[in-house]
Amino acid sequence: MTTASKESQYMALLQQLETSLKRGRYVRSHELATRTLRLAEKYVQSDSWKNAEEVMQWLENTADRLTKAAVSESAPSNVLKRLIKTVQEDFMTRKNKGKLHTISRLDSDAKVDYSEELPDLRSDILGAILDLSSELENGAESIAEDAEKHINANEVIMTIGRSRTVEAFLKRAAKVNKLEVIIVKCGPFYQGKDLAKILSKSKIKTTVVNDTAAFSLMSRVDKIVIGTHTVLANGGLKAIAGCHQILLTSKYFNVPVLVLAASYKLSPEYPFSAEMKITNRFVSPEELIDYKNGQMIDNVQVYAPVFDYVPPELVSLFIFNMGSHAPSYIHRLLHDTYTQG
Amino acid sequence: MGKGEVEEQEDIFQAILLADNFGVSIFGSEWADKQNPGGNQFGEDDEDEEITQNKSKEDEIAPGFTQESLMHLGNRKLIDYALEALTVSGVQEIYIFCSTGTKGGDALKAHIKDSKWSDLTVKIQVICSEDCQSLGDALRELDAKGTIRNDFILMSTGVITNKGLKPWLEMHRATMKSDKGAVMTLVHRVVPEGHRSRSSNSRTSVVVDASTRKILAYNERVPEKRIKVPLASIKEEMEVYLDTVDSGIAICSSSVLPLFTDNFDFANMVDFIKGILMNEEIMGNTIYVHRLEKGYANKITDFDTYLGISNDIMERWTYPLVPDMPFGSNPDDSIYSMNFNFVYKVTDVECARNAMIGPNVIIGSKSKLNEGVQISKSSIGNNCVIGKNVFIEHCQIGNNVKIGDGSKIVRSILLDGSIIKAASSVGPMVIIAEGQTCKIAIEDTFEKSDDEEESDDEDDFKSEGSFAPEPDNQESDTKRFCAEVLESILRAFTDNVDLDNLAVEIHGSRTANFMYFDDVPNAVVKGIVGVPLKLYPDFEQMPPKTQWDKTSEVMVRFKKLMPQYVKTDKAQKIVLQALEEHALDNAYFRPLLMKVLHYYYDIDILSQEMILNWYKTPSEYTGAAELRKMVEKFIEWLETASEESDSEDDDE
Repeated sequence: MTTASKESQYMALLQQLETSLKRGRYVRSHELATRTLRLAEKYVQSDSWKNAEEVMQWLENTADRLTKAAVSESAPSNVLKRLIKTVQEDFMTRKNKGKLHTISRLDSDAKVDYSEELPDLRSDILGAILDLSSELENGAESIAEDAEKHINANEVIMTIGRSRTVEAFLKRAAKVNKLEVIIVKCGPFYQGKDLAKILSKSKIKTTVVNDTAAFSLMSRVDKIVIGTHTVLANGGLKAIAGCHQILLTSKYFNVPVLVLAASYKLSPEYPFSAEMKITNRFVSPEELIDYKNGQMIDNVQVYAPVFDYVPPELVSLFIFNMGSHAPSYIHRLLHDTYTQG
Repeated sequence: MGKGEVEEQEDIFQAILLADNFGVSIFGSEWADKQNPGGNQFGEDDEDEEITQNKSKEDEIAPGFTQESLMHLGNRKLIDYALEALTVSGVQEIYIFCSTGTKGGDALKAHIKDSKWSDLTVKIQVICSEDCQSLGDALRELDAKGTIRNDFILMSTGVITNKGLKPWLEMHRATMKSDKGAVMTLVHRVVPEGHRSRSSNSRTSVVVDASTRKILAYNERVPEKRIKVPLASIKEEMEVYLDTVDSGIAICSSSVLPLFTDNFDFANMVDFIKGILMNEEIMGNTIYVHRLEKGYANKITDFDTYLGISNDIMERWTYPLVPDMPFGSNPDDSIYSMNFNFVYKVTDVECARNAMIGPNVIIGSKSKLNEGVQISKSSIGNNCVIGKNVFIEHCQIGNNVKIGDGSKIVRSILLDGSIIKAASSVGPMVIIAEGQTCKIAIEDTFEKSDDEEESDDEDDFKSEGSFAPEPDNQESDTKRFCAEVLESILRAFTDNVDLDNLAVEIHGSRTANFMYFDDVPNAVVKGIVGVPLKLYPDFEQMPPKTQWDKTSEVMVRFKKLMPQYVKTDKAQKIVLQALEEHALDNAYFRPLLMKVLHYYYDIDILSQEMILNWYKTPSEYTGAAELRKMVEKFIEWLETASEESDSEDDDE
């Protein structure tokens, strides 16, 4: 009875998540990650699986399904793929418990049989999920803890658009040091304005500028701090549209660029891979051109992309909740977080 | 009824979705006739032969043929867009009303089941009815069922919107708080005239109170460039909307259904709006309009809007209702990826290297495009094979369609399973179902002239079952010519067209239909006296006095037109005969005939001699003798007057 209801619970959760992904009705990738994790938790609690192999299979299938539902969102599949790695590790530790030396390594070529039933695996996985969910919850906070290390007194910081992680980071930095923030509005959605409102409320000296003014102001800027939608496997970014040009300007002026990202934003996908899993999102062009202008829209094609691809060489440093790394180090991080192949 | 129950009802978010437009097809009346072979719109068409022919074909017609909401739009069914909009907004109960009877209804039900709409947490109920002739009938039936108890959304066929409906419902409820009589909020999207997604026939004018957006006057077309606003509803500040189209979405209070039940004469939405406005003083009901400037909401009303909106979808104005975004249902839908130039393809599409695809093209799963194909602004279904060097523009093509090498297809719709032979040319404005062709009715009289070529073209592709209107007999030609002239005169009357232009238009219709000059007076007279009938749907019920006022208004307006056509005695004879025919066809006109004759006598169109001549010549029509009796007085007067006028003439 209880297990049956649990099963229906996770099925319902999955359905809900899939539907909201399909419809593009979500606000933040953080919310998606949290919901995905809750779904995984419900599944692991249910009686629908017997051994690690089945769990891993389910995680993989679900990751596929959710990716298909919204190709531009990677957070759900990132969370699930990370869990696959955790399940593998838990399985190995549980299996080798009591043995003096653990000879088999996770990445060794020897094929591991995951179909063995281990009674305590369930609680292990649930524990791992709990860890992950607390990591998700405190992600922005733990990134913000690093703020004082990176931002010095009286520095001028530029940021692009709106990111909640950046918001927490700057607020934290402002507690210790006096700083000035320049916010690029980031058309056509102008999320920068919202951030400016919030920051000015917490008494941080804030300037809002147009996207086009970024170049002329860049010489005054000491650091650029941005959030991102996804960190790709090569260290590049899938960030809000407009980032690329501003970061090119920063390269010209040699202004260091700090990218803040929670761990679930790290994706094992490469840009321009054959399967095209990293895709842009094109929304309605109504912010760019008025629909009323019939003559124009009939003769002009207007694209409204949401994301930019930013190549890794434009990023100076990533600040994750598990530490700061240079773009060249991303491959190592991937290796620790996701299974190979 | 307990209090808890009432509260529970409050929460249910309901919507009525119309699956078809009650016999008025977006592809014109000819198409509607084919869908409902029995239901004859014009009442007096005596083409029995064709109707029986249609009936024998009925079984072969594909379900998508009869149920318009199952037509393709961007490789999805039309109704899916509406269902998606409703379910996204959190509507809990959807009643789909289908007037094409069980046949269309079953196809709809099957689609909803197959596409898993029913698996969502929404209650979807399809209601089929065969005897509903109008929106009014449908809503009365729903009221009788008693299923709708709350404020609800009323959505017409072919609505596409990416806006949430809930905020609108809340807005309407807020309006209801300040105005207890508010029964409906209409959603109008700003789409100025000349826009590709606005019908060229749409000339709605809405006068609203600038502060509250309450409708003060509503007109489907602007009559003579004037807008009447009742004195009682004049406000300090008013706004006139001429640049909006009805998006087909109306947020209704629960009292709307009883209002329809109470007023049997409310047939459609315009009746309802006008009725409410007219009785505002007595009943205290009001209607509001929401003017939408941002976000997408539009309705397919005819072929032009159908193609215009399909381009809007491909250019992503309707995001997230775009080809590469999955909908709430249809888990097995193929996944499209967007490429440059708004080209949407599934990965398994086979496409020749030199095929020129785009802009605005959707290509469905497993379709094959051969060398030299050129496609733009079109969507192509699954499993289609497009031959070499085929040219396709502005087309919507269904699944499993085969198109032979070297064909050219423009502004047409090819339904599932159609086959086009090599080197044929299709369109513009043609619908092809499996082996059947139909021309889309168009308003412009000049374009009719290519009918002749059209029938030649049809022979090129598979058309065994073609029942396209062929201009074979003189009889139907005359009829069509009359209808066109009537249409021209009507438009000239409502839009105040210059008489010279009208004459040119009539001339165009004449040559297009191969009519002789002698046929023109007949058509013109019938047109002039027929205008009021078309203009006022309830004209025949009006008191004779108003009938005469309206008729004479039209006659006076076009009095300068008559001398151009009535120059000879023969023409006068034709005019008299036309009037006689009109009187025999329309009972209301018989008492008016005398006055009409008198008027034309006064302005020297008809001579005394010809009138007397007509009066004395017996006619082969039945009822002609009684008719002559009715004008007896006038004839008597004419005979006596003649002597007087003769003497008057002498005086001068």
